Amino acid sequence: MSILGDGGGISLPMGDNVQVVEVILTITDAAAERLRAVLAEEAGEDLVLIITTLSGGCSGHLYDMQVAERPDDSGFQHLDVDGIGVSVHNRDSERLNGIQVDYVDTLMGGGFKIENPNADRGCGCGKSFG
Amino acid sequence: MGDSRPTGPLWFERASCSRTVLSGADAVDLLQRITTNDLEEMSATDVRNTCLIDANGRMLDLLSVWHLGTELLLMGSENQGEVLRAHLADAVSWKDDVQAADADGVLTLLTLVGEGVDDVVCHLVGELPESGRWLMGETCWCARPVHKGEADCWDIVFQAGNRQEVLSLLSTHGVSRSDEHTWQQERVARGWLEGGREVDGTVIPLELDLWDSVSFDKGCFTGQEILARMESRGKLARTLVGLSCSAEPTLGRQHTEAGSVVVTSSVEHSRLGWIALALVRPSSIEGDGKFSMQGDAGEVDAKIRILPFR
Repeated sequence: MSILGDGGGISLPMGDNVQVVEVILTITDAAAERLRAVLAEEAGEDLVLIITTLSGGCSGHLYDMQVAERPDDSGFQHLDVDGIGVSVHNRDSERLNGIQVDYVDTLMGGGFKIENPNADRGCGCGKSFG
Repeated sequence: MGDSRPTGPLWFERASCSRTVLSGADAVDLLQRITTNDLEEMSATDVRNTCLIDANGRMLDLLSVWHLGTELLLMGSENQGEVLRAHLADAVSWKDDVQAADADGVLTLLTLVGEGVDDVVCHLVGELPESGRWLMGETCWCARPVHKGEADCWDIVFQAGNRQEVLSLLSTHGVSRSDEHTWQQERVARGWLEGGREVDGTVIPLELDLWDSVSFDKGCFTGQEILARMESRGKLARTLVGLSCSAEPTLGRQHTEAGSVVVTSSVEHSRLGWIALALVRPSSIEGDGKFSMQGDAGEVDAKIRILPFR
């Protein structure tokens, strides 16, 4: 039973107040090569890279990337970047417009990196931005 | 100066503290990502404080989180509700299963203070809740405010429909309604923080002695780098203290022989005289802690006191 009882409270809008822009993004050759390998390893049809931002991380927002079947939610924008399917939710469109997805391979821990022209700041671990 | 304070326990209505209910599978995870304390292991009946801060480590709100099982009740500081709700709305991703409800009109928050309130709480919820836990009675929920940690202080929450019943019960047990001035005497003397005074966008939680509301090992959260740096250096730029004053001090920042002092609250206390809460340089506490500052009616002599005032 809810603590709100029959009164219900007033539902608050969550994440609705965002500006939607048409996303353009780039993927470096190194990242494209790695992504094609990852997509080939995964089982499933119509697989795409879904790039998301979550609140949190030292600087306010975190990147989240996953390979999954192309979402059929109408809230997504679907891009073809050098033959790689990428999906970005409209709610993330302003924060992710103009990003470059790169892949770095170092002994100290490589992986995908995102350069984001919309970010004013990043944190030491490189995983969050604000 | 006459003592106008009622004797016996008091209740104070905290109407300006926001009450927000979060639900959904990702509600705890969301708070874990955007606030300072480790909430992941919380379970039903737990109460924990956590700070909502910006990426620069500055306070947006101090939240008391009550885990109700399928819901989280968040109670904020005075007048910070809009900030909290705007922040929550922005923080929820399309992936998060989180719903939020403004419960200001549905739930009432009272703070009970003073000698004898423990007995009243036993009447309301059957027994005294353990520290960091809430208990539910027939008409209300009750918990000890976490960061206040004193024996004679409890928060109670109830649905608007139970108001008359709860107030009547309090009256029957000798708990009187506190006026604003009496509340401010209690609050400042105990060193309790108020939204818009001590809790504002210029201060870092550690400067307000909110160490118990910050986890240094839970991983990343917004503003974490700033707090981790302050903790590892072991140095704060300023710290919250009490001031005993010879007269009413002027609120706000002023330069004194003890360095920059920001007076955040002041009140004429019936037993302690003029007292204040202020942010001072930690070095000011060393030595005799005495300095002069500006008051509304001329110079004021001030002496630093460790909180709470005794």
